[in-house]
Amino acid sequence: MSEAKPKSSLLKFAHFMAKPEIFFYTAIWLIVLLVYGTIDQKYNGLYLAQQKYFSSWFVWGIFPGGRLAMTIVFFNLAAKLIFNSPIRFNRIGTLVTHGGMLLLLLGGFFTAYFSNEGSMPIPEGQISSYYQDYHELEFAVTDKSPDDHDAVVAFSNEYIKEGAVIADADLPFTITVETFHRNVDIVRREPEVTDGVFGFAQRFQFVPKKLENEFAQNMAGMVLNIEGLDGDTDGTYMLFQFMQVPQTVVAGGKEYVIDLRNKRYQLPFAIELMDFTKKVYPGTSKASHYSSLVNVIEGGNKREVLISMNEPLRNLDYTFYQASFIEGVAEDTTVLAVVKNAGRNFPYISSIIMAIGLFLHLLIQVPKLVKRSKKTREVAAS
Amino acid sequence: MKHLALTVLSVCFALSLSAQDYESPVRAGALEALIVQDQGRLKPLDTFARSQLLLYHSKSTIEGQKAIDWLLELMIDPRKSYERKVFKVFEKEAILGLGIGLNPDNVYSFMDLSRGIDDHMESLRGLSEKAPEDRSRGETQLLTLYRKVMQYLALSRSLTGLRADIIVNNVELAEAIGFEPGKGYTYREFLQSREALARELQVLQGRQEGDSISEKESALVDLVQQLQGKMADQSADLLRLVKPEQDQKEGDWASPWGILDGRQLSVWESDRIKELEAIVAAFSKDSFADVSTEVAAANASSNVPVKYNAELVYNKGNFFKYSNVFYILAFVLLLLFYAINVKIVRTLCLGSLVVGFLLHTVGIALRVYIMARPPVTTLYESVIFVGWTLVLVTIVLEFIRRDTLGLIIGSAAGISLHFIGFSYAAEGDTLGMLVAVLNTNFWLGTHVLTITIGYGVALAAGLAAHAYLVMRVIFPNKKAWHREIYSVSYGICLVAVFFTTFGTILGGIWGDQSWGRFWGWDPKENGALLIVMWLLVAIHGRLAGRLKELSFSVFLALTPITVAVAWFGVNLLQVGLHSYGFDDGTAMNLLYFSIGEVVFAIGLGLAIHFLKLGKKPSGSQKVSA
Repeated sequence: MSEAKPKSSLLKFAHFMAKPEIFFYTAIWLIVLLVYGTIDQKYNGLYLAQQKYFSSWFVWGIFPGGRLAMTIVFFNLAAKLIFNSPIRFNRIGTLVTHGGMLLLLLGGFFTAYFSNEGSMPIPEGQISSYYQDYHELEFAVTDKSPDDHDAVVAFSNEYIKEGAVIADADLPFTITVETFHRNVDIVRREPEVTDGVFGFAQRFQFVPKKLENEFAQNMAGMVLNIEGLDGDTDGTYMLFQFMQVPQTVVAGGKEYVIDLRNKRYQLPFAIELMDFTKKVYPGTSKASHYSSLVNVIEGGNKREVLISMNEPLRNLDYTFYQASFIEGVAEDTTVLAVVKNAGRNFPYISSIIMAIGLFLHLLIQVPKLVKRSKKTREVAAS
Repeated sequence: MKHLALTVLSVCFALSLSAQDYESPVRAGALEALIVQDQGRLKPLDTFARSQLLLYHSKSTIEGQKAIDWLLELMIDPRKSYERKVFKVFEKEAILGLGIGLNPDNVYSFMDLSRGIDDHMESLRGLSEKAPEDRSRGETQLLTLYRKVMQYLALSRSLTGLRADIIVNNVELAEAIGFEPGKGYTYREFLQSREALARELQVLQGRQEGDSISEKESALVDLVQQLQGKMADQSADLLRLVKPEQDQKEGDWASPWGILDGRQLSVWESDRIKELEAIVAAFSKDSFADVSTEVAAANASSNVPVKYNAELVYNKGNFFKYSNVFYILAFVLLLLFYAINVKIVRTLCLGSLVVGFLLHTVGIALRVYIMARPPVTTLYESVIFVGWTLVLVTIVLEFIRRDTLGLIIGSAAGISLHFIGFSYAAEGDTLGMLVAVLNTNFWLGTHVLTITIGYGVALAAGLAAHAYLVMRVIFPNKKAWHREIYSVSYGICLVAVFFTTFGTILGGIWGDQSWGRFWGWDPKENGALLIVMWLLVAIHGRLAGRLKELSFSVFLALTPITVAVAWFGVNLLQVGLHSYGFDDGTAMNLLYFSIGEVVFAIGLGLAIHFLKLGKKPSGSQKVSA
């Protein structure tokens, strides 16, 4: 063997990354985040607290957020498995467990970056082929003129903010977002304004208010300036989330509906709600069970499926869960939760691996840890 | 709030007319087995009586009397019950709000309270119309008390429709409506003569004021008054004893008054009412009546798969109470063993712990059998089950080690958890129904069970670390012993990691299966993760050499705080899918517990470190250089 070469700094770093100390300190930090982020849910709601503490790279300016901390744990674990895992019998359990954990974290990343979820309300007897995001918004312009479909152009993320300019080759007009608030109250304008102001905005305006703890209860509102419309209709328009009356503009002789709504995801198939059933415990109003009988319509095929609590429908990459329901309106309306998740199999595989690993580790380690030694037996006898 | 139309006292008065006075106390006997539907579940009347009595009296017995006897007395001899001090009211504002003098024992009779209610009818009416969020705390308590009193009144009138006490003495009238003069008829029987009575009443309506009234007519007016008094009871629908249709599998049962609402009874309904009338008739004759035949007949007709016998055994067995008695005995014996060091005492102590554990097991097994679902579905059950797990772990430990480490942890923890359990049991029937999302035996049987075992084992690991710290202080020089308890606590810690980690992941998988997300950072999930992280930090800190024997033990001794926070604390936040509701008491108890643990663990840790216990023995022994 030749003389020992000094380790490259990369290798040194890799060995450093494999140290259990890194996990020790990162895990303590994660505990701090966990406690803070959980308590914060009481004051800012689950969604915002999750965004701030767990799905973030940094918190409080320079401190690592949950995502960064878990990334550190991931690399720590990977380095440990590669550089610091001598294969010995009494270490086999920990090796397997750590492998499973690595997979679990990997699944977490897939889920964080390649999944989306939303809700899908369907009234009895109706068909729907999209679901809507719980939190994210989109600004949609719908051209109803084609006979067989609606031509929709939707803008989300960076377009939904003050000062954004919304323009598209397919649209004969340009929109500027004058103001945007994530939660508003609607108040009547006294007196009405008609000069350069159109639609709903003539009679109403909004007052921004504090975000709700239940983030989905926020009602966003925006004021727009639209140019390029027919006649003398260029000017100020106003939109709210959950607006009942469609706001329309006319340009190039065509009518367009403009809408501020929860971001929609199109499904490559449609779902028809045939029947919604709710059962209660006798003599109470407490629900014991609810379910939706649906048709999955794909191409020309129809398939009947019953979706109930704990028994979702899976089709392609999508899973549909019985989430809740709306009663007391014209028809019973089911609310399905829809999830598209590329990482959904990771927890299943990794939990099996980890359970096996931990179990092996227990079998190997615990008996000798809890056994009483001869020495103390003698001490006790004396 | 339809009751508000009538004042309570006038109703009581009308009722007392038809009440019967018993010389001796009543004994319900076999009545306890009669099946009733309550809170979404079919159960024996005994369970119903217990949860009702708990509601008013905060205890499931009253002055040594069984709940079922109290209930029967209330229903067949209300006058006596109305004067009894049944209501335990700790909310002083509510009592003062009714203008009643405070009673130092906090107990009040129904009459005390209803007098207060009658005097404050106007303000109560105003209160009930006020939106719940606008009511002050005292107002809410007052309204709650008022509703309890009204419910008590309704309960007392549950069986009035079954009693054969409609009597017509006037021969002429009796004949006209097909009654035997002087004989008592039930409301059901009266309904059959209703048309004849209506004819008689029509005649009476034609009369002018000032006309003389015949004896028959005067008897008719009497009868109508009797009937009006009865019909005031029709809202008493708490006691759902009647399965309304023969083929009905699920769905609502009806109260006797719910059936006797004036419509034509079906043969099935009429037969069920007759069965219940037979029971009431037996008690009307004799307050010690044996109604076992009648109850068996009524239950057989209902023909529902209710394990009421098992539930009666469970109710009467008081298994958790007796289990606790044995745990306490084990603890006392252990102290005795430490004092006199006689081997047989240790064996007796272990025996006592095992007997307590077996009773504990029987209690849980009966609950599983009665409800046909896994053992942990509510907070109360989790307390009982965590206690069971802990004692199991410590018994195993004791059989392996035979050095009383298991005995001390097991008895102390078993006792504490039983007492926590009792405080939850005081809230009513502990065999409750579940919200839809929890109503799944598969996930309750896997995730919930695993995580609950995890809580128990994590507590055991923490308590072993407590034992380590105490040993270091009491026997500072027994180093080999310290080292062993340290390694035992580490071993239990590994087991705890297994159950908490696996349980947490199973919870995620349940989430994925049921509502589409593996992990949602919900407080309950975070709580479980907190325990896992805590244990992982302990293990990796030890591995990395950052936690040594003493610091590891201090760290591990703090684990019970994380368990308590995950278990009870997250409910205080009232967000997310899992919260079960809470009171300020829980928050304060949690705070005291945490402070106590911190003071204990860190205090002892610092004392051992700075006083150098075990390192600088007094005397001439030298520490190795």
